[in-house]
Amino acid sequence: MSSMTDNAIGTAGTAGVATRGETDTGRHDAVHTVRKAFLMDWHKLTSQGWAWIPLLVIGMPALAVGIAWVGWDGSLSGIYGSISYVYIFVMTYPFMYEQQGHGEAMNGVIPVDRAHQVVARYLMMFVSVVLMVSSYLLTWAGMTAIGLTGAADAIPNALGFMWGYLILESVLCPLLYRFPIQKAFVWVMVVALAVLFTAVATFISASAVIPSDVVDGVLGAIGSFGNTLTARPMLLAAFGVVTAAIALAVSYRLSLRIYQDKEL
Amino acid sequence: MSGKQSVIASDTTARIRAAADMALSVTGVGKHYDSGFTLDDVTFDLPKGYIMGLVGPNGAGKSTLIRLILNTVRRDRGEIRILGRDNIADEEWAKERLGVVFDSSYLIEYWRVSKVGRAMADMYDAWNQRAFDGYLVRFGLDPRKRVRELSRGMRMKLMLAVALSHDARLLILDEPTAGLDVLARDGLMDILRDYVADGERSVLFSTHITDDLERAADLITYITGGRLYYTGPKDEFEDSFRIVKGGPDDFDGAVASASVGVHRYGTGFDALVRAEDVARFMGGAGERAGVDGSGRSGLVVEPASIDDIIRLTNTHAAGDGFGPAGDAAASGVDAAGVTDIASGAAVSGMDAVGVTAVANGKETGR
Repeated sequence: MSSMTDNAIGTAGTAGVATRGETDTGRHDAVHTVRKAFLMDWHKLTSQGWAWIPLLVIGMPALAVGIAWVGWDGSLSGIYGSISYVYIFVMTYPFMYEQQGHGEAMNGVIPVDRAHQVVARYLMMFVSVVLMVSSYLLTWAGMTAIGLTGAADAIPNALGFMWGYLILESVLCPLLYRFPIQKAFVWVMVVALAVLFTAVATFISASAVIPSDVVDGVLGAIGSFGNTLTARPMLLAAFGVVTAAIALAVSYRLSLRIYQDKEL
Repeated sequence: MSGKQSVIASDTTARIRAAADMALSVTGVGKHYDSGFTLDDVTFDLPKGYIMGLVGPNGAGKSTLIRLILNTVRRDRGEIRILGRDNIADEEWAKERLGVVFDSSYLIEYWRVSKVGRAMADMYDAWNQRAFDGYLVRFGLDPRKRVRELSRGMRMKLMLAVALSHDARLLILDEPTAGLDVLARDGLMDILRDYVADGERSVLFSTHITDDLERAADLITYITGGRLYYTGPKDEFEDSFRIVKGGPDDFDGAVASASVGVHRYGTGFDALVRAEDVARFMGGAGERAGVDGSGRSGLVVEPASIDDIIRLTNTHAAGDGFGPAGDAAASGVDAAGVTDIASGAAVSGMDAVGVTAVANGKETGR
């Protein structure tokens, strides 16, 4: 290659390169770009208008209280469970809009790298939890207002559903990055059934070969651990926080790895 | 650099060499797919202030190349620099300065046009809402309409409005004129010419419509079969070749060996020949033949269009219209005399990158 060519490249390499510390229109700190990605997810979530979000937060408790008013004889835990179930779908909305048409290509156009996009998606999960807790609280307040006994007792169950929500989303999120939505939900069911089947099969197999007093001892220990957690709310809360944090951390790493390798 | 890979020098090239600041620099980029397709060692530069047309037949690798530039597909090797910075290490910085238009809309179909503006305002630090609103008016886009309600052409215009409203320094357009009528295409080409007029902005656009290239492109990068065939000034691309036409009996060894590509049919053939090789079979009249079309009896030499070059550099020896390999062999012409560019085998002695230009001082080609 000629020296002239080398010189040309060298010139381009110096004159054309701006330094990282330059102060121009671009502010490229992580918080700034994660905020952009979060706003993009919010725009996707509200693709057909934002009004459905307050309607969801307020509407579900209003519906539950209304039903209770006319004569509800079920449990509040059931209501909280239903609310959690609905909020699972909230998290799928950004994925859903990306999978329509060539929507995913937009993620390759906007000035946010993939890692920051994944961080923002998990922040959206926490926002979803906040909205869900808001619905819980409104439901509790409404039930208390109409004098339904046991409303306060349902709070621990609500926290349990919140924990379950985070665990389920931790499983679902990487799958949504990997598969279309329908297939991701199928995989969640497959994973859940596989875990259940494996647990039952392991228990039955172990019971056949391990002396019954040992099996009883293990079951007793598990039961005792559960009772200890139940009796000591702070310990239970710590257990919930730690397990949810581990699940989310593993989930985030998996999602990031899948998304980094994905062709948009 | 081999002797066959000639450096084309001209005022245009010199001007490009002088433009040291590159809007886009692609060096030795490769990508292999499990399907078997490979984009192989592509190298080219786009200086600031120029419009480059990215051309090639379907499946040549144009869209793959654009996706590699956008880092929506990970490259296996090579380097891509946008405005001097690596497109992966400084992805966010680069994309802040990139405007992108795809052949199909990347925008959420349920969004209204006005929401597209609001969403993109949150994405780009340099977003100019007034400019966006101006483009909506100019392109006749109703802010209340949803993206899914827009025609293909209007969706392209909406993407273009987004691309032009955040002070992008480099526009990358993948088949932007597909589906547009002639007026809309002319309008787009006018916009692109205005866009680069300040000498600081650049455009890379892929297209199948060579009229668009004729009208707007300063430079051409031509890839076929996943390999770079030419990159450099548009005019020199066309000037580098001639079309030689003749009757069935005129296709002999001299023509075959000098041809980059041949299309044979019942009543004759069209051969693509490098301009400097015309003399090889035109005898003493060769030089003159390259100019005025006269020369060896029966042969006619004409200027080559971009379409001619693309068409004839993608002909195969074995499936060449009415002139299959068998015919060539029977007439004493080695079928291998016709360059099989698609397979990467340049068997006439000419390198597959038969014409290598030097754009902006960097050696192009393999």
